Amino acid sequence: MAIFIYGTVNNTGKNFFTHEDRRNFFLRGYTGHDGSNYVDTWVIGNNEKGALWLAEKNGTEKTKSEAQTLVSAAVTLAQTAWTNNNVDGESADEKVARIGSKPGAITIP
Amino acid sequence: MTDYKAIFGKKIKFLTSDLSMSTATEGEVFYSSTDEEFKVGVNVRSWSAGGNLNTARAFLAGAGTQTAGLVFGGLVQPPYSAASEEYNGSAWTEGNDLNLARESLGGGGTQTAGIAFGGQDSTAAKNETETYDGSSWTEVNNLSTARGQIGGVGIQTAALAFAGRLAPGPAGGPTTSALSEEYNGTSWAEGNDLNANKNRVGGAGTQTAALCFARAPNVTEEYDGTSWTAGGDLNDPRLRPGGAGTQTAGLAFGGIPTSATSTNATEEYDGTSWTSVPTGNLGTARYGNAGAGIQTTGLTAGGDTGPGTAQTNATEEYNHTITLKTVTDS
Repeated sequence: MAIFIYGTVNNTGKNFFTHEDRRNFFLRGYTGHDGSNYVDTWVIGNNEKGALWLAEKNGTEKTKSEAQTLVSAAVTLAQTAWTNNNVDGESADEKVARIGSKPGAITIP
Repeated sequence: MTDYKAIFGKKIKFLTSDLSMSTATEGEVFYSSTDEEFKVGVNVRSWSAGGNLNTARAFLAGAGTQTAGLVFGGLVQPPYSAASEEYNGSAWTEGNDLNLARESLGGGGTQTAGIAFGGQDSTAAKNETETYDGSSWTEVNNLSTARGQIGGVGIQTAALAFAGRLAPGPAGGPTTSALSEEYNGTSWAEGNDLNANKNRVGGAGTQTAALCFARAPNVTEEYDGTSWTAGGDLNDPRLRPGGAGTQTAGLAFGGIPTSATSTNATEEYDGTSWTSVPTGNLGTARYGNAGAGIQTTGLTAGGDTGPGTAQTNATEEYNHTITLKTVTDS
């Protein structure tokens, strides 16, 4: 049995996940992008309570590959924004000094 | 029973009522004659979701408590925020803005008596200091040395600013600072420097008992009101972590470790060393997140989930409690 299940559902705020949820199953959120909007993408412990949490939130279950694609799309957007953020005459080092290093890839578990 | 005494150093207590949360200690077993059960105190540490910020942003500052929090400033898209929001334990309410929009600023105090200092925009580090009275921000005397990516702790009448960068830029580099300044409610005075130049640090504590922690160099430093000395290293050193608590009961959460992607790791400090809290990982990994509260009831809001991916409006509440579990033979 797979260790994790994957899903998308946007964090609605207070009690979106509770302390009890955190004790009952693994949960880690990432920023994803579906081509139109940012979407919160979740890696969830694969047990009954984890699956129930995603269902109760009306989340959309994804395969690991689909979830990774969403997360990678958000990273690509950030990398593109970084690449296009330039000042005339600025060296590579100066650019890093101004806006930091180019965002790196994120691999979900 | 003999083994338990040898291991724990105490006999098992025979009680007519349960230990309270404040008196129970982790691993302590007792017998409840009322319930006719053996019980044990178990540490429970976890983050739960709080109300979302109205303005998603990173590199903001935080103050106050889990049920009376305050965040201000930060980086948004487009760039710099002056927004100030108050938290009531459930939801954030927009308050009056800072007079100067900026990110990577320091802060401290409470929801009704906050202080903001330093920070930066794309062109320069800032020395502006502002105080909050629960309604509006007022400019007061500036820091002696303008610094962004600065650490800050304390209260409105006794704040401490430390580390930082004299000009905007990455971690490290020649303009990284070891400076430390104390605010007495009226003006800033220079104190003794940190033992190493640092920026993008986390902080906890007070003006006379502060904690500064960072990724590189990975040395936690403790301030006693006069000088900085080395403390225990973070197990997972990181830049731009959130911080809360005190010098002897500190909390670090989020940040960017050496893997260069944001972490959800949480660690607790006991005045000597940091302990990783695997059950206490943030729900959403982030860095540049605001911190407030104490080690047993912490608060974080905002941050960047990348690096560079997106500013988040997510808030999380940390609880470290001792709960009682019934001992069974299954």
